[in-house]
Amino acid sequence: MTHEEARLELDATTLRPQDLSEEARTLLEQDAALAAWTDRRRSFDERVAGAMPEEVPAGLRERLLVLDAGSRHRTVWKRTPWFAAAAAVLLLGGLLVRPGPGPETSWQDEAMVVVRQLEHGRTRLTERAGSLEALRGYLDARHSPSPGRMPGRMDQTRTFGCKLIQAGGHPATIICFQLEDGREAHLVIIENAGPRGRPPEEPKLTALDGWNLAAWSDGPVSYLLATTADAAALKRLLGLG
Amino acid sequence: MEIALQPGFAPPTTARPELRVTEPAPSFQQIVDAHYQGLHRFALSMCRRADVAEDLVQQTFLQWARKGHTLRDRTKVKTWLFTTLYREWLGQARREVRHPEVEFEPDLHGVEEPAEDEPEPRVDSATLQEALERLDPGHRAPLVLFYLKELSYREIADTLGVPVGTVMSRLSRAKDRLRSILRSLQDDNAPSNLLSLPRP
Repeated sequence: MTHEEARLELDATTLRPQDLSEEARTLLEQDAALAAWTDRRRSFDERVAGAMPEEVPAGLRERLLVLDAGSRHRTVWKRTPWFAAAAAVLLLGGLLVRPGPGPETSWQDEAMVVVRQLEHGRTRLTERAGSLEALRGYLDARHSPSPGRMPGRMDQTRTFGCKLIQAGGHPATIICFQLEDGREAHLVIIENAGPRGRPPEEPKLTALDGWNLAAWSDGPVSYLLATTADAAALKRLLGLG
Repeated sequence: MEIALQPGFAPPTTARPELRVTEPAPSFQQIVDAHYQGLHRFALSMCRRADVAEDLVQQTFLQWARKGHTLRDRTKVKTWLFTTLYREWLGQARREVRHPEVEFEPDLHGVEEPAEDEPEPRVDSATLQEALERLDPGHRAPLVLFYLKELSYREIADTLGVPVGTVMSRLSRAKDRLRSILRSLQDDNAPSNLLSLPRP
């Protein structure tokens, strides 16, 4: 080990001397000038380390712990062979009766985890804006998935803002709308999710776990609209009722 | 086509490897408890915005909840989390105008080592954050990880995806650059300079 290599290693371990190699430690013991230089570096490093941010937001731990809900189904899979077998049969059945490509749950599942957090105020918006037009400007400037032609009354509906996320390995945007009865609707926008994850071109409505959902695609862009408001409110928003 | 949102129906893509450890795998809660504070400090030092830092930490643990089970080596949990957060931050930073998508090469930027008799600059939390913000990302990331003391320099190299030697040289240069920025901030805020500011 050269003197310069020893200095680099010593400098990289001033705050964690346990990481120092035996060779560098030996050099340090034999070279008083090197030891003095290391002491000066450590003194500065300790003062900087002491000024690093310490505070963690109140409630962050609790907000993180709820994220495990998104993976709970995986735990069930791991621990319950019967559940896994039944799920496999259902999946196979779905593949057989479904024309075309099979389901791709990844981006929708991941986006819904964040949608639930937004609905319950457990995560914050990336940008706040009161209109879809303003959000389009924000998203286009950042080359983030942006809403194209919107059906029904969506262009006129007041927004809270948007959140930029990753879903299924793709950048995605969630836009939060303010509905008439004080409830919210959340629009997930994702580009190039692949043919397996692409919904039909016309909005397809369904209900699941207390959510009313609509999914559709427009070219390479896929949309998922989710709300806990009733199905009639969802249809009004989409111009279907 | 229906919307496929029913959770739990996606079969594993690869066979689950046999675990050789006898200890039970740490629970999600245990992993959160062990690492969320360090991750938040890392995120906050990198982005300086509390809301963005919290989002970065949330995205990191969301990724862990989804993909953590694929990590074979349980000793790498911490590195996995810091790597994930760093990549999330990189993704966000590159989308912002102020961080153009340019790979910084710190080794091209010479930094002079301070003279031994130079007084040490004052270090407080606010000044340090301002100084860190002025560092290039290629310097800031290893330096912040170093000062958080969570990771060894080898783990920092793993986290950032660069060779160990590169991390060591970047750390050394980044410290000198930080010291220089702190000193210049201190000079800017010196009473003599403040008094010479034009009055409104």
